[in-house]
Amino acid sequence: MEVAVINPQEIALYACAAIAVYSAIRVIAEKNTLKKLPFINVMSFAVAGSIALLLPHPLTILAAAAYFIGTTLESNAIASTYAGGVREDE
Amino acid sequence: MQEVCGRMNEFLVFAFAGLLVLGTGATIFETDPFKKLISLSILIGGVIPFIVDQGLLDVATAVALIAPLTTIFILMVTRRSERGT
Amino acid sequence: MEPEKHEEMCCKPAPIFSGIGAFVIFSKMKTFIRLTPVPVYVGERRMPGDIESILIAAIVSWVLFITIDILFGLPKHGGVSGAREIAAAIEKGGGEIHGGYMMGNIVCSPDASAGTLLAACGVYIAGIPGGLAAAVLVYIGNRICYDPGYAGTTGALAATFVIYGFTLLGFSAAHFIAGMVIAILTIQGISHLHASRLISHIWRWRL
Repeated sequence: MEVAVINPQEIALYACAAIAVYSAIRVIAEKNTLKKLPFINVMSFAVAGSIALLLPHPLTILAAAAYFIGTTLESNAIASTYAGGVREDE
Repeated sequence: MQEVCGRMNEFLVFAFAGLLVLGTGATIFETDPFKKLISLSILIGGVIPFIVDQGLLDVATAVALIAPLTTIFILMVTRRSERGT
Repeated sequence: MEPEKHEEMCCKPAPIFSGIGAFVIFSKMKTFIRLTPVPVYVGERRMPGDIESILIAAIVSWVLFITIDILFGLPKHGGVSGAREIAAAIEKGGGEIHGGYMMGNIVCSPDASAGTLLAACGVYIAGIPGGLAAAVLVYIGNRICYDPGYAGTTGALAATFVIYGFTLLGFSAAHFIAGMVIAILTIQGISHLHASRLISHIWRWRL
């Protein structure tokens, strides 16, 4: 039986990818729009974690932070526009 | 940025491509506009690891900043046209 | 109704069949693992220490980000307007309002959970300077989201030093990245009802 070495980076990558797919399925299966947003947040955490684990380079921190802040802004915009609209933009 | 390869193997390719397929299918089959925007977010979440894996970190940062801004602009345009009508 | 129950109680071979089935499945499982062509440990067990490290890292980061969020009073009121909408939706589904406010704040603004995750990424790539750079990025993100609080930055700074301390003990920062994702999954990804009740319980306990 051959033995392949697996390091913590690979296990963490598999975990993040699996959690991303699971939360994407939960997003699609949820009926209420506002309750979909926490599942999208879980998916963003998983994808930001996998970005940092795929390519360890100093600029990857910037890419992961930009992606995460971007999806946070987007969720905030969707949530506040869904029921009533943003008053201070007009 | 030079061409470097990250640590992507078959399982991860299937996982993130699965995210792409799920996002596309959900965007096509949903009817409510807010649900379509949320499904586009799943789509972008599946694309970014492929861009990072090839070493194009500046492209990944740009896509990760532009795609949510696009969603915010769509929301602003839709709300404005609804209120203006 | 009575004859059905009588027949069910007479079904004694059922445990024997399920035992034989389990034995067959488990003996075939080793063959399946041996013949499967993915790069995992093809041996008796996985490498000891990785799964337990990820679980310990998950518990540590769960405690860390919940503590900092409750210290900053996130469940008290919704910060941005999107958080209030999400809290109302969770309360309508049966949860409690304070847990809903906290979950809404986690979704709509970078708080200690985001700070911990980005600090773990920073420490994984570049040690303590990477963690501090991640804290600066979280601070910029807080200003972009119009959030007047400092929960994200404090979380990132605290997490940088905690994670660096754990790496001296033999953990790897990659364990903390996966652990943080698992911690957020337990709060926001499994059941909003029970998570909001748990957070409200902790919030009342703190007061």
